Amino acid sequence: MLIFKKLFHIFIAFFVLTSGIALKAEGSGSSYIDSGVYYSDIEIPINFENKQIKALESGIVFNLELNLKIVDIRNWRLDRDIGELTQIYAIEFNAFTRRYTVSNKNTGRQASMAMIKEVSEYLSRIKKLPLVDDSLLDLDANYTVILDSRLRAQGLSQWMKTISFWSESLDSDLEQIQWQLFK
Amino acid sequence: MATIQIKAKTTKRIIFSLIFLSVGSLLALMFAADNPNELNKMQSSLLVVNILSFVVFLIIVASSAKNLLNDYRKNKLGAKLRLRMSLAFGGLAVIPAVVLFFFAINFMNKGISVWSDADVEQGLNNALMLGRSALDEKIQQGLFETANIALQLQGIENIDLQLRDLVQKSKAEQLVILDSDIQVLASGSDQISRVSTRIPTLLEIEQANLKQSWASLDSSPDGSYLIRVLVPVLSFSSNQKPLYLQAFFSVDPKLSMMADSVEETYARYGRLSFMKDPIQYSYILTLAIVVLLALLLAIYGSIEFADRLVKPIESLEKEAESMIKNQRFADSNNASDEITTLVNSFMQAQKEAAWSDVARRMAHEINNPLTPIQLSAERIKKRFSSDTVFQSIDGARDSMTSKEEDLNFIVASTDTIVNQVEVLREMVNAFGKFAEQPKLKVERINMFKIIDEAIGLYLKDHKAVKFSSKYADNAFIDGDEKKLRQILNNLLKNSIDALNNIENPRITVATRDVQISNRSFLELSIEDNGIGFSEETLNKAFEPYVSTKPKGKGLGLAIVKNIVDEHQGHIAIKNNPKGASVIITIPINQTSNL
Repeated sequence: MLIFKKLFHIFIAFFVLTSGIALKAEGSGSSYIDSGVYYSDIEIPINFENKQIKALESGIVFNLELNLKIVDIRNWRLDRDIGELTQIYAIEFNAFTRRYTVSNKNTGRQASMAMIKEVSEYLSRIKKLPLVDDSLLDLDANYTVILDSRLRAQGLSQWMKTISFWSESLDSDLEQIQWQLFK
Repeated sequence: MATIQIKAKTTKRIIFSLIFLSVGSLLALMFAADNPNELNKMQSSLLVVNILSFVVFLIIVASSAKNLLNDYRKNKLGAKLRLRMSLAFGGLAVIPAVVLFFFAINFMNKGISVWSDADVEQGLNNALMLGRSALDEKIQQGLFETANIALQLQGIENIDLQLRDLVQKSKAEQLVILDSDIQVLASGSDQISRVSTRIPTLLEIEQANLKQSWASLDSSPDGSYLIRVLVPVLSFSSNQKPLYLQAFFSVDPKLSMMADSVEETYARYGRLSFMKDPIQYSYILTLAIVVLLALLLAIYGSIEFADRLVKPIESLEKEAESMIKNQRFADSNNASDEITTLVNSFMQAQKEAAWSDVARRMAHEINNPLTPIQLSAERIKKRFSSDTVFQSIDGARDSMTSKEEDLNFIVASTDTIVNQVEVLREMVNAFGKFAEQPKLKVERINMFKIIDEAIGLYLKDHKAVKFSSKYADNAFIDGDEKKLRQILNNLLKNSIDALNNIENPRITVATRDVQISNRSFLELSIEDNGIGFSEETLNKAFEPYVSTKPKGKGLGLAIVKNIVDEHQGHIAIKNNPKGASVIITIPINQTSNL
């Protein structure tokens, strides 16, 4: 019985520790109005894993997909989706310049960085992302912005990803972040 | 039976569809093999198609194999041979396929290994380094020129004008003044150029502060290359925030294009090397599925092939057994291949030859003593019927009554001998005719007329029997008139015999036009309400010397069948709820091989 108690304590300790790590890496988001448009500042902890860096250096392009959803949370009724926005950043490595290029697929803007750490920092802090026009919103409603982010290797079909299921996956899903649209 | 046929048809359709799909998958694989990226896109659908085909094939093959094994366990006729042949054919297909599979995998692995050849990687790295080295000097020149431009800047006033002037005087494509917060303060160009989106990062600003300059080769969105230089502007050090001058220098388009080509090749090579293992696994998996499909198809084919090949042999075996049990030959009209036809023809020919031989021998052997018997009987009659002979033997008138009685007895006895010899001769002649089978004299004949005449022959003598006829449109067929009349006579006679002691006896002769395998036939049916055929007669009605009639020779239906066969027709007999029917099908047009 004693051994089971010890195992239980170890399990609890492990759970608390890992939860702590998860909390530590949590992202955040906030929204504000500027000239009739709601913008968001987002902080998402993006850390490229070694296998992803190796893949990038091997010429594989990664897409960071940010899916923002504005939902009207209603009591006793089903929630209502107000709108959805997908922001995609393509990250690629140029072997000739030895630099990473981050391209915003929505705006076409590009940034060039020498180190993967810079890329992580650049993508981890997204400022002034236009969300929704003020005129579309009801001031009495309780809007929540839900952000789902994921990093996807491009040029690899689902088949190719399935076939290498026993090896580490190149794709990663980032934690979901939620915040109130109105402060 | 119909359900089994539908099932077999559906199975065949499924198999053909699967073969079609699998061949399609193979072709797709063949075309996609040249381009791994294309393969990536197609492989998911290929996988689904092949796995589906594989599962269905597996079920079909397992079901066929199970049936075969069940037949083998139950010691069914031909099952052993079928199993052996299936194993032999299957083995012949499986062994080369497996060998081929392993060789193909080996060659494929070697082929893929070439992609990640160390020499190729080194070569590409060298090409990149060479390209960069070619631009090193340009970068140094850019650094030097940007530092000089920074020194020429005279205060923040009219800075845009100064920058424009310096862009024109220098080799720089664009000049930008930024502060430490990476805010663009001034630019040497009003237009948004291809480099306008390139702003330095904080790290680059730090580097420029630390080393008093920072330079890098960079790529522009249009794929060309440029040199980006960042230097602190020391002459503006009185400002609150430190300022920086960023200069862009273009790379020679030819050099840029070549560098881009090298980089693209390097990236493609890198991607292939990185995906080497998954590509390899996917090829192996796809090839394995295709080979397994081919194997299953081969096994199924071998079972089916063995089945078809053995069927006629099985039939031969059955016929042999049937002969042993003295049973009727199975109807062979559903023969579908050469072996079956050959076997049936052989059996039929054997049977007919045997009967013909027997008939010929009997006719010869019986005919020889008949003439002396008949002649002797006639001589005895002649000798004892004359008065002279009687007188010389007895010589007395008082014994006349007794002599007359003797004479009458001798005459009656010799007459009986002569008559019976005549009957025997007729019978022998009939046997001889059956064995001879003279060739047909084919001409266009009116069947309706022949039928009417045949019925007319029997009408007078059998008034109690009600004869009726029903005719189709077509009356004319190619045939031997005499022989066809013989058919009708034999069959009508048989029907009349079967109607003895039957109430309201009737015979119906009908014709019908039928199409069999795109050939026109005249179907002639003779139906009566007589006693019908016994079970034994039904089984061997067409064999010679089989008769249920006390005085029958047993040649009537055998001769009818011979004549029908000679006309390339078919004959069948059956019992009706009341009475029996004989159905004859004769081609309307005879082919020339008669």
